[in-house]
Amino acid sequence: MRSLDIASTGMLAQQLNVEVISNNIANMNTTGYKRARAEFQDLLYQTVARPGAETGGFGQRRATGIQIGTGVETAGVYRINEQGNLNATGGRFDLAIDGRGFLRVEMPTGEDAFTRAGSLQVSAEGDLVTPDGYRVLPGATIPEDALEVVISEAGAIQVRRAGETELVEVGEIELASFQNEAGLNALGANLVAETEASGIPIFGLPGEPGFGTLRQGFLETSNVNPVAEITSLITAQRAYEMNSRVIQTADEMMTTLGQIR
Amino acid sequence: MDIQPSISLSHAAALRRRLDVVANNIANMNTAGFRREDTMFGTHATRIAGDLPPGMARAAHIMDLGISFDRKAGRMIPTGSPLDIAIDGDGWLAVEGPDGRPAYTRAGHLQVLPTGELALSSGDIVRGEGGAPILFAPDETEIDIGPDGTVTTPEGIAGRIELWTFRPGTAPERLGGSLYRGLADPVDAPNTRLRAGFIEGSNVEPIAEMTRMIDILRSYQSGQRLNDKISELRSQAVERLGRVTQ
Repeated sequence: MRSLDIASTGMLAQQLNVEVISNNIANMNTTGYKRARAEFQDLLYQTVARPGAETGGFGQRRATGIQIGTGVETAGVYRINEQGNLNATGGRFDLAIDGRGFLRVEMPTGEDAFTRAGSLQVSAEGDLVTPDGYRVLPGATIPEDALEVVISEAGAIQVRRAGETELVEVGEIELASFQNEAGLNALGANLVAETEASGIPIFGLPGEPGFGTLRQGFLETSNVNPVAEITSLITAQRAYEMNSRVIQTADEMMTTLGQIR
Repeated sequence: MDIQPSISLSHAAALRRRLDVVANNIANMNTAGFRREDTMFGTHATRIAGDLPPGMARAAHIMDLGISFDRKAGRMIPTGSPLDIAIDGDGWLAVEGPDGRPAYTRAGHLQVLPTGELALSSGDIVRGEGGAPILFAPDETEIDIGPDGTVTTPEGIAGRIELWTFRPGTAPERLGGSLYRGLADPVDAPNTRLRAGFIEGSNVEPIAEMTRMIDILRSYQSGQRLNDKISELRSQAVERLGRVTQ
């Protein structure tokens, strides 16, 4: 029976849906996390009779065809790059991006990766690094004796050293923007990488047209909306149950068939 | 000729097809822009041989006439993504189908291809006015889609998404992948609007599909029970007739 296969595609799809939702809920408190959404599309149709096919010998045509669907498939899981809330932390090297853009970091492999989680730290060498120790590009060396570090909305890093009264600029933070942010490849650990689908990174300073501004002492929370996620979870669970009911019904019909005398 | 088994068979076959359609509706409960389908059955009357009163000398088989789809709109699901569009009103997005001919969809999850064209998430290019693709320069990042389909970036207007509607009385063919094909005309109706940041869900009503499914199962079972009764009746008849002739 075709219904069995159709319902199994439905159950698989809902299982994936639940997986995506549970990952969103798990990352509810992850800095800079962007929620994901599973998208589905109907599978190909089996045409039993084409619309417009001749039915009688007198030019009558079928107004509607007979096309039987074969279930559902996952079209993709995409990230929704809506801005998260800005949460005041007071951290000296906590940076939130208000608007579009990503920080550029250098991976151990030498390749570039991008992140919106701006909980930065200073390495032993004085470089600005992510919590995993990856250097933020273009690099800026924070002097050891820096008493005060001010990062402006436009990305300028200024420090005041011991014994000085003036702030001195030691570097700046650049942002990268992509045409199709949804096409970025998630690497885990809050990092994404460019792909053919995302397009090449466009670099610019914070505050320039098309780029957001930087907020020192703030972190961007995840954009997961718990209420919406729980609602979708309930919908997904019900859909899963209903697909399993289809399997039961098909099974019962086959049992009936087996009892024919 | 005994016509009952063939009528029963047509009944069972029709119910199995109906279950397939209901199963597909349920499987696509969360598919963006999906349209609920339903079977259309008709009767095929045949004359029964023999001396019967007029009006009773006919047997009706169930015949599959077609599968219709419900054009009612699905609910709007907010996604917050500026490249997700839902259509408010009877309008369809036109895309370049896999074979190069236009196809239509209501699943408006869009993306920008590496080549700069606006496309569906499946990669099918969206047709703008006059069938031309909507193109973006590589450094255009802030894309905004207005209610009338105008696509703007900070650099200006990139194009306009045109909406189409199927000609009344025609039945669009389903291509799978949320695409439909049929005779369509462009809509310029002001009551059809695009809503960015939303995706249209499917118009499947789960409760209705469940009741339909229960109905199918019970109808199938009672059909089989009727079969059993008739075969019992037949064997009894054979037995009794045999007894008389002894």
